[in-house]
Amino acid sequence: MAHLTVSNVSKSFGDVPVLVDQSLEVEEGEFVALLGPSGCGKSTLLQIINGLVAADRGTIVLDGKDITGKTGAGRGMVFQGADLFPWRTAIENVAFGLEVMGVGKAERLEQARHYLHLVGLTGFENSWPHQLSGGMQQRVGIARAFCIRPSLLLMDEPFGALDVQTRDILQDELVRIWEAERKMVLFVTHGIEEALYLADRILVFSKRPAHVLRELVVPFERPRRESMKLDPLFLELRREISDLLRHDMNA
Amino acid sequence: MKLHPRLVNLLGILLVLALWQMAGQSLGDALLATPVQAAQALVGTLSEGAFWAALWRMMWQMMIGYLLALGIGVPLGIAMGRMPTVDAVVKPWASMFIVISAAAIVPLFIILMGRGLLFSTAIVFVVTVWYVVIAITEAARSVSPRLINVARSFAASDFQRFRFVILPALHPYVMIAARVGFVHALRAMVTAEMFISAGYGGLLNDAGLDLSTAPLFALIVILMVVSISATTLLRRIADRAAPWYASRTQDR
Repeated sequence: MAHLTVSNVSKSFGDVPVLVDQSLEVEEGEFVALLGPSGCGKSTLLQIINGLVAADRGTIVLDGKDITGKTGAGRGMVFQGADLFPWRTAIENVAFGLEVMGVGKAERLEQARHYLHLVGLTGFENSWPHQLSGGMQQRVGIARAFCIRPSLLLMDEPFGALDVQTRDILQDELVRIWEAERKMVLFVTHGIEEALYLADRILVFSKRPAHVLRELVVPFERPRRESMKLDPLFLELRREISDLLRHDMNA
Repeated sequence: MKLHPRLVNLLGILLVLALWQMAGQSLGDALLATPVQAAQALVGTLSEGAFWAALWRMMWQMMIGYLLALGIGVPLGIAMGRMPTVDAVVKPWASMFIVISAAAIVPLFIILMGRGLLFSTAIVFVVTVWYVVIAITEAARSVSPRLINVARSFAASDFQRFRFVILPALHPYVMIAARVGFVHALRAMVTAEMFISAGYGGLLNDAGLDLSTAPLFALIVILMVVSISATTLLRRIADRAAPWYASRTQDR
């Protein structure tokens, strides 16, 4: 059974403490948003879980295995700016993770084709990244992370660089894809509405050094719909979190 | 009115040729042969067996030095760009040697190596290699750390990061270094041959002593054609080998 346990992670950059003794758990099939102000350390936490940044202290256990300080192994990462390889076509970008694992060409391209189709990019297999719009690039980025069939999906403000309309569309797409292939998700964002719309549970982080101000279980049923953004409860929760963050910033 | 860029190109060339023709007619061919005279000399030169032998000699000897410069310069540049220690050791020498022109070291190399193949190859290599090294070092240093992080997050090994990120990122720059390097190699080769009065450089020397400047112009024009053809060919190869780069830069 899939499960992520992060225990007592601390991290400083030089003399600046970014994370102090942070712990969190993610259950199988759970979508968790890490919400907090820019530069608070939530992205650092995600990178520590991904293994790109070494923690000063603490352990990361995924599906019973200690993966502290290691990359790969069950995790797929979606980066903020998509960060596609410009010398690979869309399908080759999606197949990258499988190629690193040593999966044969025919097999990995077939998998990649499937995930490109899933993110709605059928027909763009042989396009170069610079020929795709920002939203399409991020779709490829999402397909690339899904293609290695990770048990944990890590998303670092994946829609932060997109315009509002594109972001709304991609949020719906992400929910749709994720509902077809439920896996654990850690989604870093500074958008309150985005967190409420997407997540099962929200961890609201303070300013640096980041600690959890509040843990909130999102009470809305799935599948989520655009109309819920006008629900009085949704608006109420949005204001509560907003007040919480503003209060913390001024504290 | 908007003119086609090719047409503008052609008009520019015709304008210069017309000015050259007028200047040549007033100065006389001992000082400045006209384009028409140069063209006549060109036809004569192209029909000589000695010319083709000299051109062939220059090209194959130059190619040895040039390919050596690429073969050593590219890996050395990558090592310097990715490993600070290698950079610290080699960089001072690279910065010093890059300013030395072929003419400055030819006398020394003649004393050391004589006037044979070793000499020409060595001159071409020493002059060309540093341009390749400096270009590739800069390119290797600026490979996007974000893309390297993407590869790391997919658990790519050191070798895989080199193979899947660093090498493809450098590919267009290697092709640019090959083009720039070719021009430097050709220039160095001609200089070296002029000193030892052999091959194409020897022909240039002889033409310089001629009463008319027309044969000299003919030889220079041929040299330009060789250089432009080679760099055009290298560009074609680059576009074919890295279509992603070609299609991203074609609008500029």
